[in-house]
Amino acid sequence: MSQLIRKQIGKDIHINFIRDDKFKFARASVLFLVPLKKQTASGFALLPHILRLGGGEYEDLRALNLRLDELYGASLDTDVKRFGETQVLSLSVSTLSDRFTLNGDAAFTDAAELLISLILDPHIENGAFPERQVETAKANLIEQIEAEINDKRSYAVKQLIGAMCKDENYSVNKLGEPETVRALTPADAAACYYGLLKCAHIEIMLCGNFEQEPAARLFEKTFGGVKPRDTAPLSDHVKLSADTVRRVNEQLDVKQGKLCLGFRSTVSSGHNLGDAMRVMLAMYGALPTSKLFMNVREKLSLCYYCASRYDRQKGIVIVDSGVERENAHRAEQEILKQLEDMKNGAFTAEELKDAKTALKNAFYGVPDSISRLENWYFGCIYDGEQTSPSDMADRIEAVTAEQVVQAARSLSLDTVYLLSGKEEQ
Amino acid sequence: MREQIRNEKLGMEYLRLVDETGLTVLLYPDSRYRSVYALYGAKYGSQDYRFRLESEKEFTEVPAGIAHFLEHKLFESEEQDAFERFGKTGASANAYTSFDKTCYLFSASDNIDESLDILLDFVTSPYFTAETVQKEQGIIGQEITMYDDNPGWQVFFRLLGGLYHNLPVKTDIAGTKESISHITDKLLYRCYNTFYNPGNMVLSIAGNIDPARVMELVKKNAKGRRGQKVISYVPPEPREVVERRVSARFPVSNNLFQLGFKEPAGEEVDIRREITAGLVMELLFGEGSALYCRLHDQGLLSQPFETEVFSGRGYFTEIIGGETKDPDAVQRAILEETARLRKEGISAVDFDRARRVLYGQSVAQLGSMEAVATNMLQMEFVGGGLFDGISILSALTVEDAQAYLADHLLEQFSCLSVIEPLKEE
Repeated sequence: MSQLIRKQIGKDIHINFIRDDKFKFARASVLFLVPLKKQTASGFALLPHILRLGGGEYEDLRALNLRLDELYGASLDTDVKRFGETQVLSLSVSTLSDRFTLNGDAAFTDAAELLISLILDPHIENGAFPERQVETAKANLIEQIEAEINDKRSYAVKQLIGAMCKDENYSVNKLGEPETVRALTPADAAACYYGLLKCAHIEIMLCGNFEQEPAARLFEKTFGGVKPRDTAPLSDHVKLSADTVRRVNEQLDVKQGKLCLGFRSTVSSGHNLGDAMRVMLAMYGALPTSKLFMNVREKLSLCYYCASRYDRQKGIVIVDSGVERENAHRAEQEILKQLEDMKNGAFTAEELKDAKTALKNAFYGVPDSISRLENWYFGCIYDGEQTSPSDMADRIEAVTAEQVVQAARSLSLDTVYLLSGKEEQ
Repeated sequence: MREQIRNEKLGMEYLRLVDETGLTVLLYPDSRYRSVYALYGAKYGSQDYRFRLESEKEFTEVPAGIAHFLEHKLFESEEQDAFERFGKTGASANAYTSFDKTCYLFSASDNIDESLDILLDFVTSPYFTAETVQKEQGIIGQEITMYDDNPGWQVFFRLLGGLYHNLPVKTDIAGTKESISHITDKLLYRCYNTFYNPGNMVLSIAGNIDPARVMELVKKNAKGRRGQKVISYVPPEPREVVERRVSARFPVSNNLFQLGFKEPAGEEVDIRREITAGLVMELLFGEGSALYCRLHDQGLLSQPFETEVFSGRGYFTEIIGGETKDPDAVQRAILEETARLRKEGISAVDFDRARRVLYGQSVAQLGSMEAVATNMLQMEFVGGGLFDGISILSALTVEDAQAYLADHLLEQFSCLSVIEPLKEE
């Protein structure tokens, strides 16, 4: 149970099954992977928004949503993610497993059929989407892009990346830019749609409690016939080390400041220190028992949160924290001092053991959640390396203190970003 | 006392036990899961800052925010704090305080007994000193500042301020920097001894557990004695709202709004009324509703409404929220649609649709051990069981919904809260 079964059904089109009947619902997702580029990001990001508004036999949003309600409140979600330097566009539907429907309805198969028809049977006529559908989708997407400033924590991280990776595709906004979106016509959108079907790697993920056979037949019959195919190669550029430290300060009308530090690392996906990096970061800043939490927050009370995150595809580590302006300098020094300690091996065998225990606990828990299973296996597919969560737990156990030190030493500070409140006039 | 609670259709069953000390224990064992989700909660939230024991005549008043403060402090002990102890077992631990309860929790997929032992021990082992209290005032002060910048939090508390004259729920859960400055170690002990007694607490666990083993650990850790019943003061609250519209400006991209309807409420939670409210809100404002789809097509809403039945001891409010360029137009549309349905009547088709959505969503989440443990605990605190919602929902009729609508969601008892973008300078 909950093992990945993967099958190719077309050129760079795969279907992936992760089944487990302990769950009470199932989720079908269709993911399109394309290189993240400034020229194409807006057009591609608009497509899930357009497709969410109708397609196939569903004339408009109301018709579509009424059908979803009928399928036990199935949720139809669109998403645009950045994975390394790849833009991942997805549409997915989740609904109650057939076993629990009221009259034995096949809600999941019906929902999958609906999803397929939205994606493969859009309302394109004479080489253009309906104007109203495109205008609504554009307004929705622009609103979403503009809303990025609302959550200051993620806004600060985004601003850091923007400065740090200015000349790399990594800093391209996965949602596109408002002015580019505004300029797209219904015909442009249709051209993007055909471009996407032709150039994207397509991953279909079916996860949860469902019958494999009918779902497999449905997707093979439809997605198996997608042509022509001329897929774009996907790759992530890794800059191995930082040059001089760049500093960026921004002021906004906020009460609490945000301090973000961006590091480059030579360790990225496929590197033999990849597992050691996970352990290193667990000890340094990813857990509530980590050095950052215990020292910067608990011991010195310099901030309310202080944590590290790692993008293994890109070899980037980010530390972000919420600080008062007058504490920012001290917090930065302390964050760097804790990293120096990791680089010098100034940690105990017990700290190492505890970090491994926590990571293993998290990996063993992955098969108990549909969304974590889906994320886990999508990550594996992207990295081209199939590892089950429990195999990963075994690998974590094997990491040595020396490897942790090496992983820490792979980090160099690239950019420091500080968001602070406006000074009194 | 020991009872088995079963639902045939879902094939689910759990145990409810009350031990000699008066502690209620809810256990949902399922060995298909590797992980365990455990919650230990006290029926004690931010609203309980004026209280008396059954034997006392006078109410005691303590500073606002003390329940949340206590939650933070309980993690500490004279030797090692609970986070560090969980650090040894690898469990992921956390805690939260809401208006009417405080919960301590962990999820783990290894070393379950050890983690459970820690949970049962630290929650029943208070340790507060003047020095540690002072330090926490700094950390919580930063947490409060962080929420000052959170527009979603602000729109909600401003709404409560517009609705309620006297009820303590209108105060931020964490209190204010001023109120928490009056908290002392003695006051913390006073609150702890009053509310953290077994009769006022529930232990709820779902996942890979052996009930007999859990009960051994409960017995081993039992320190409490059956305490007296606590009575929280619920001040008289007029039916009228304070203000019909409240607003503030923040650095956000679009208007955030919440429209709240203040209803009369008793001191006990009425589960049936909550479920009826949820159903009426789904049919009026859900994704398949005519109103939502129309406002979406008019460009007034890009995302579905977020609705909530906000109810507890002494309060009952329906809240409809979202983001829009014109909150007043959305408010008018909501009021008109509600009045229209009140007058013209709810159709059987709409009723069935809404019920199906709620049924699907309630059942689908029960595959998550986190949801099972959380729901068991929440329902226990309001005198119900895990499957009560589903049974009540099945028995509701269109007449029930119509009757609900007749005297709820009335314009004159509503308040609109808006967070507006800053003006261009």
